[in-house]
Amino acid sequence: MVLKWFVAACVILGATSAIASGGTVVAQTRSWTPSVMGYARVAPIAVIEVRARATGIVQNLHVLPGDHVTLGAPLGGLGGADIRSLLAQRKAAEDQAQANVEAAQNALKIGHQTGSERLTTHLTLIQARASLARTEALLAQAKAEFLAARNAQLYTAPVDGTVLSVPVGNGSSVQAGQTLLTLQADGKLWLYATFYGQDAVAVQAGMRGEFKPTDRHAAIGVRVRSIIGPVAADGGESVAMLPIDSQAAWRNGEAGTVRLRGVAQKAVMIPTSALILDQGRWWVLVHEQGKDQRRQVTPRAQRGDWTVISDGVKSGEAVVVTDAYLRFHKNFARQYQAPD
Amino acid sequence: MEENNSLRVIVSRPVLWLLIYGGLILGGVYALLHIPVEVLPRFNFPQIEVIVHYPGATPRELESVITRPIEGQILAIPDLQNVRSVMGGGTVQINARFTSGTNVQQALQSVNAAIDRARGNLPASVHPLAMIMGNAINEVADYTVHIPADVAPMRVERAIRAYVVPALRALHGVQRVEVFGAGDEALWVRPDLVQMRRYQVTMLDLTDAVRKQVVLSPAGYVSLGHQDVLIEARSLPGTIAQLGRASVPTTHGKVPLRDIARIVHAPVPIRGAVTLDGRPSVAVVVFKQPGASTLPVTRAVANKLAELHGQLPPGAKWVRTYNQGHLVSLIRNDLSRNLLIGALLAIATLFWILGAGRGIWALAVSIPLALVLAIAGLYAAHQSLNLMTLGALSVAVGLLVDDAIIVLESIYHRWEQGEAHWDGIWLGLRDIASPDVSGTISTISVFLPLLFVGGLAGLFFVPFALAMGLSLLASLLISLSFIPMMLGFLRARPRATASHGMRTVEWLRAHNEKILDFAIRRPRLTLTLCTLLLVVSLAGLGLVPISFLPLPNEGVVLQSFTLPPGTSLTDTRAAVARISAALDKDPSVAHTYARIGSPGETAYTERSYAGEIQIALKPSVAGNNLDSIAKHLQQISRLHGVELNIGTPTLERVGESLSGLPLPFVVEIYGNHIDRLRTLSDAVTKRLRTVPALTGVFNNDGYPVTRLQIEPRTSALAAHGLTPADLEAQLRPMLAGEVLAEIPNGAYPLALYTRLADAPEMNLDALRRLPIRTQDWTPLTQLAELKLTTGPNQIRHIDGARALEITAAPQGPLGSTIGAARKALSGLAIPSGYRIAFGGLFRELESAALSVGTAGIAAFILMVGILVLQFDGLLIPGLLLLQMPLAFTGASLGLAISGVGLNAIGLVGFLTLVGISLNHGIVLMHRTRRNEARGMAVEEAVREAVRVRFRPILLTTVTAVLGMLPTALGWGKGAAPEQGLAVVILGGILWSALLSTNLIPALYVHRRRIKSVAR
Repeated sequence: MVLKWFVAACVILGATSAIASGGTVVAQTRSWTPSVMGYARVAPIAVIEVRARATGIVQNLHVLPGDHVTLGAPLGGLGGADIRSLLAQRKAAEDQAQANVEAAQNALKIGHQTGSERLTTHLTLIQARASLARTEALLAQAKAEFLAARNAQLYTAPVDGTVLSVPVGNGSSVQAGQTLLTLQADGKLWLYATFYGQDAVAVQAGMRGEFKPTDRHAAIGVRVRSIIGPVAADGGESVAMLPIDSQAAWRNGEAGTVRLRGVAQKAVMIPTSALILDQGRWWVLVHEQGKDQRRQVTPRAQRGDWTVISDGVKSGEAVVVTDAYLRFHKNFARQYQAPD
Repeated sequence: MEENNSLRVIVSRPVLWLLIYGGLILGGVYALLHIPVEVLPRFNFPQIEVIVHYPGATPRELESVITRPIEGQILAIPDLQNVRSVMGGGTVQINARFTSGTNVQQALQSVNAAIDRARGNLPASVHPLAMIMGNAINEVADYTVHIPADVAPMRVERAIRAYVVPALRALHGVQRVEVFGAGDEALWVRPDLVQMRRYQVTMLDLTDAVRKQVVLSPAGYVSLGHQDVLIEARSLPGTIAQLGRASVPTTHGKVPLRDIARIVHAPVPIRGAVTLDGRPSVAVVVFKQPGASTLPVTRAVANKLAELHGQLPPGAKWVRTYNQGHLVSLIRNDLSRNLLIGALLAIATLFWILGAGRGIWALAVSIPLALVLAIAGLYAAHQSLNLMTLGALSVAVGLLVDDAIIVLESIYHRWEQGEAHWDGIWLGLRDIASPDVSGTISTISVFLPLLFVGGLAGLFFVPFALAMGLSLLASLLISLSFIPMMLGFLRARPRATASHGMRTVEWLRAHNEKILDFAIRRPRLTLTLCTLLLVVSLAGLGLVPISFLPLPNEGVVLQSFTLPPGTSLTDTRAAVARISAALDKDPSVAHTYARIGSPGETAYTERSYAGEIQIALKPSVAGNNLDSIAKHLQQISRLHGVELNIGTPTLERVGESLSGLPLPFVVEIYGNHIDRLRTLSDAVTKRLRTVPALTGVFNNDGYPVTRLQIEPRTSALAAHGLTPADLEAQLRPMLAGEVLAEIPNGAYPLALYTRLADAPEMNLDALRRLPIRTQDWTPLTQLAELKLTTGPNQIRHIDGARALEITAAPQGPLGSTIGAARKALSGLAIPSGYRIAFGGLFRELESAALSVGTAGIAAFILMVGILVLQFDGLLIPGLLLLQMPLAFTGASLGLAISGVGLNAIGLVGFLTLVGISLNHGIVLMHRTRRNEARGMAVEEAVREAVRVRFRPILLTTVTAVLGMLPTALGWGKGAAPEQGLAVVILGGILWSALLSTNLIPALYVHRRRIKSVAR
């Protein structure tokens, strides 16, 4: 209890020490965290495209955009005369290769038999073994090609994810390499923003901040994962961010603003209401020795009701806040006469 | 005898005179019933003012977009003398002055035609207003509305525009009705930049989509069932829900507007504000037609507003903050009352002195008759009854009976000598006609110079001179015709026995004789004493307060305020709120009505950092002297950085009426480039401040304000395939706002408006980050440089050329002051193409002074000529002219003793005194010369003339004094402006009566003796 009162008293004393007399406030050195702000949007890290491996007619394509698929789940297949022809070709090739292997095996068997009757030489045996190996390799290749042709017929999900788009439908004729559908892999969304100029220079990997989606009240803590170079033609630098809390969920396409905080630093701050713009320059009134003195300042960033000043005012100096503008111009009647 | 018979024939024809005077009286009564009554004379100065509001535009933008197109057309109008334009703070004021003698209505038509020709080059949202200079004085009624906290001011404004304004405009005598304070009701589409970016929607897409929602057009007709049925294509989304459903095309298909913008029911933001007792309000300002009578208009407006009170939202009520009818009523009632009292006092005195004979009734009737004839003359001259003419009439009332008394006295004298009835009338008339006419003409000739005062001063002095002249001419006509006729027909005779008043007159005459004895014995000493007294009295004038035109306490005080140019509306509102709160606490204040800035389509010209606070005083606050109240209110509302000026609303309107004219002395700097002009003006100002003969050197035009310039980076734009116009097309609706369409909604349309909700609150960083649609989205800072610069708060044109003006007040003769200024500027390096000139109204003022001086000399010569003809020599004219300055003694002593201030009208009183002071002397010296012609010795002739003329001189003096006594005593607030005038004339008449019956005759005797000795 005593401690609470003591802390409250300290707070009050601290607050009152900032308030000087005559409507002034003392400029303070405070910890200030520079930040940059920009538009950000949640987007997939990568979009996986499932492409046709051969020319054919799409068949049995049963997934729709928004469907969730698991790794290996069948998605659809390709058919058509081309595929059948290819399969037949590959099958025939495999059969042929199989026949060749059998023939090579027979030849070797014969070689072994005649070798015992001293009718063949050792070289013939070697040749038979080599022929067998060759035909077996060809058989393996033919089998693989046949398998590939069969795989071209059938497509499965390469990853767990959500179908984003299905640009073709059953019966569509597709060429080899054409996109059959796009998938967004689960858990692979990041926040994507572009910064320009000084803001881009200030952003570093590892910086933290908040993302405030437009459709939610709560902000999501984020961390800069990478800065995606090179700088674009318009001077923008893209930045990718991930949520600090891995449990935090955001949806593809959510948009809002992101503020990234830099390293805290000490800076002199004054109430924003003390700043006066006159003839294109920024001023404050510093109250010293009972008089208001004009002082030109360079404001940097505004934080709430306070503004960081890079020069012109030192910490501890009292700046006029109450009626600052009017006191600054109290003698303007010497230079300006109201039109009549 | 033949002459007598001829005159008798003419004079004794009652029917003839009945017809003549019957016609005159009927005409006079008609004029009395129809003559307009207003505060000040009608401004017919040939200058047309054009006011255009374009809020948010910088001076350069105003120059390019509004001033040049309009000036280009106006400069081609014939009979144009010069064109002066001022642009800044979102307002353009163009003043086109035409040559003297130009018909102002035709000039107004020419200017309106020029504006029509220029309209194609002007922005669609501007509405130029052209009016004859001086229209501000026609602002006769200001009302505001007390709005309950739960009612939106824009609803009130809408109700007023829809239902009240048309009814007010239909009232007879109403010229204009202005309504402002809340802004037009609108559905405000506030874009959400994040959502727009998300859906890849540009501002152009959004504004286009909104515009296309509004359709109301004929789509042909079909014939159905023997009827031609018109087809109406109609889409009027008048609610938030309806507008929110509007489709906006995006790359992902169509999206409803509500998903990319927030739509609220709010007023279109304005660059001004109106408050009543510190709370937001709406103001209604009514202007009457120039020349219309004020009271009927203000009464009709009050009645109509009471009738339409039900059209306001529940709980809202009218509060009247200014009523010029009150002032007009005060002036009319008080001056009329004083006039009546003065006339009654004068008549009572006549009865007291001369007895209640029939002849005295004729005298009594002559006063109102002369007034009615004078008013008929004013009406025929297209004048109104106002401060100047009513003031002149209230002063003249005491003089109107002057001529009649002289004629009556002369006729009575003849009768007393035994002449027959009509013979006595003719002979008496013959005796006095010549001095009567010459006396009146001499008096009227004093006002002749005023008729030649052109320009502004003429606007005030000509009506005064006309009123005085016409009333004196009327009294002359009546004295020479009506009085003899009435004395003849009424068979009037002088009273047989002396009345009490007569015995008093005799007593006074006896005492005057003693003074005359002394003066005749010691003429030089008497003259020296009079001269010394004149010097002392003139020195006493130094103690007399001087003001321009103090108006009576009209129950309202007006405080105009200005903050430094460029001050934000927020700060201005805060300052005004503090001032209003301080004023509201004062026990003498009933209401405070504050107007900041000049709303569009009004005739006001204040910028958004300036305005007026009208302080309505409580009825219990009494007293003629507004000064102490005003000083106190100004004291309690003082704030650092706020310039305050306090006055009365009517005086302020006079000031606004004159605002288009240049100041008396200005230094004009001509050149092409604004920045260089400003730099040069700063240098000139610095040097002029070293000239001792110039004070109050102000460089208003050069006072710098900050601008934020958005300068496109051409190469960056080109890289994105944009032009500066494309960039501007995206920025303008976001930052400046735009009314996209108007939906017919009952009697008044509903605006569809777009702008970012917080555009004025954005700081530079936020502005730099504004997303601009390119192939993607690019922040503004990549496409344009944003920089804070300074520029002049206003730009001026003189005859189409760019100029800046530096104002100053010369303290010495203009010639030497200009010489000193030229010397101070001699070493200044002036770039090629730039020049400095000395301008201002001083040349016109000098010319006006010259013409007044010339006219004055001419009038003096005329007066001298009349006197010389009258008296056949220079001695008497010389003596009578000597009386003129000496008569000022009474006037100056009267002012010094009474403490009444001297104003413009009072100065005219001195002029009036010049003429009046001659009358008595002329009458007296005429008698003297007649006596001498009959063989009397000089002294005997003088004494006899004084004996005989003493009574009429006393009578005319007493009636004149009594006639203006109520005004001189300051009875009634409405008579306050005339008080100085009445005191001047009252004091002057008294003193000149003394001089006429003592000093002048004594000096005459003295000079005649010297002459005879010399012979």
